[in-house]
Amino acid sequence: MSDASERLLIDNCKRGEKAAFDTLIKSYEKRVYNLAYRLCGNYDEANDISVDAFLRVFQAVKLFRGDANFSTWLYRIVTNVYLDRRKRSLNKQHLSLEEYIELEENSVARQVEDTGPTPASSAEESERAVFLQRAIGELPDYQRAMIVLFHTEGLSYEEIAEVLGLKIGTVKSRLNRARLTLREKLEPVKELF
Amino acid sequence: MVRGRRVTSMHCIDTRELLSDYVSGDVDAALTVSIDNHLERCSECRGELAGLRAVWSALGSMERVEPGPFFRENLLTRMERDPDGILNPSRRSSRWWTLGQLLQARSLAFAAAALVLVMAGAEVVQTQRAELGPISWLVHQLMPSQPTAAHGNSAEWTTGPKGGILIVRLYNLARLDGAGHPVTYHVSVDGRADGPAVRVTSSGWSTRALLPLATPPAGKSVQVHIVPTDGSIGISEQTLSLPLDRSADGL
Repeated sequence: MSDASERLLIDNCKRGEKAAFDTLIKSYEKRVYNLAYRLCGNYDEANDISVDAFLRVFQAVKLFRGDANFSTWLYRIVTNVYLDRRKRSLNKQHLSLEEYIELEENSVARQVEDTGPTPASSAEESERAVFLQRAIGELPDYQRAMIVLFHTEGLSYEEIAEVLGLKIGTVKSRLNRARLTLREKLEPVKELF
Repeated sequence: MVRGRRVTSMHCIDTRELLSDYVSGDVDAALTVSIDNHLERCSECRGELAGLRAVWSALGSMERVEPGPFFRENLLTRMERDPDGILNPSRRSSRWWTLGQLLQARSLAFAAAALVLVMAGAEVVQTQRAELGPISWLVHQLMPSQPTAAHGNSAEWTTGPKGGILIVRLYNLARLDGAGHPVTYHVSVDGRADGPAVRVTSSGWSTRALLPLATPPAGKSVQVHIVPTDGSIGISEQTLSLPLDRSADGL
């Protein structure tokens, strides 16, 4: 999407146009969900984080002035949603669709299972990826966020600093530490890498 | 960019501190040479470098995880409940009317009542208004008492892991019954024993029902049965014929 198209889309969102919100979701849902999942390591929680993040975006879009990159602003919101949840240490309920759709007593399927990849596809994930995600999950929150933003979302040090509200030097040093920590955590299974 | 003087020998601790920047190419030429020299002599640091590069490569090649097929539907449905006026910026509370609109509506109610008096007979309308009061009468007139076959009602089929889901969208489904109580509807596909009915409450504007089915409905339309729960006043059950969209499956 070009910058001009994105500005028009955001302007339409500010006016509350449903079609604009729909387009915005389509444009960013994969990036948002991927970031959320890599931060929390859980498909259902990633869904909750992503929904909350988009709702925050839509509530706050009128405050977006356009002087920053929209995706950087969006990433900041997703990361803040994740960090807020970690701070509150909520016990997550898998509500999703049950909030507004209920099945009859004799129904068979629960619709909540369609909010993420199936168990079968999860099982297909490589062993290496499992160990890597587990190691990422053991990092401190900010280091985890930096690793994910840099290595999976491709943000620069400057963009990460903007997302997390830190100085660039802080980002670099913590990111370095995070990489070395991952290296140590994965030492026992280094033959996989 | 990490800058430094070229040194003839670096210690392992110093080298390992810089390895991450070395891998990303963020050290200047002088330090690069120093690190290179150390790595030539130190197998342990070479091992550290190899391990770091492997982790770096693995991080960069992690598969992207995607949301489930109904993520956007769920999100849009949450937004349509709209407690914070996301879709309608003028609506900032759970009230359906603002005071200004209400006062204007009151005037409109009287005007509408006068028109109906002429067209439908004075005695019937006066009785109705007298029973409900002018505001309730206007609300009663403007809130549909049954599902409408309004333009926009639709059904979309999308294949899922177990058969598929029929996404039914109903517009202007009455949220309250004649007594002002919230209405719950049972929505089902007519003639399909493999599909359980789902229970939904209307948001007033757009309501979605997700109906799991083992196989897709045949034909270009689908009959959807909508039944209000027992005790709903002034709401009748209906069977709607909805156009069926299979484009999500490339059909």
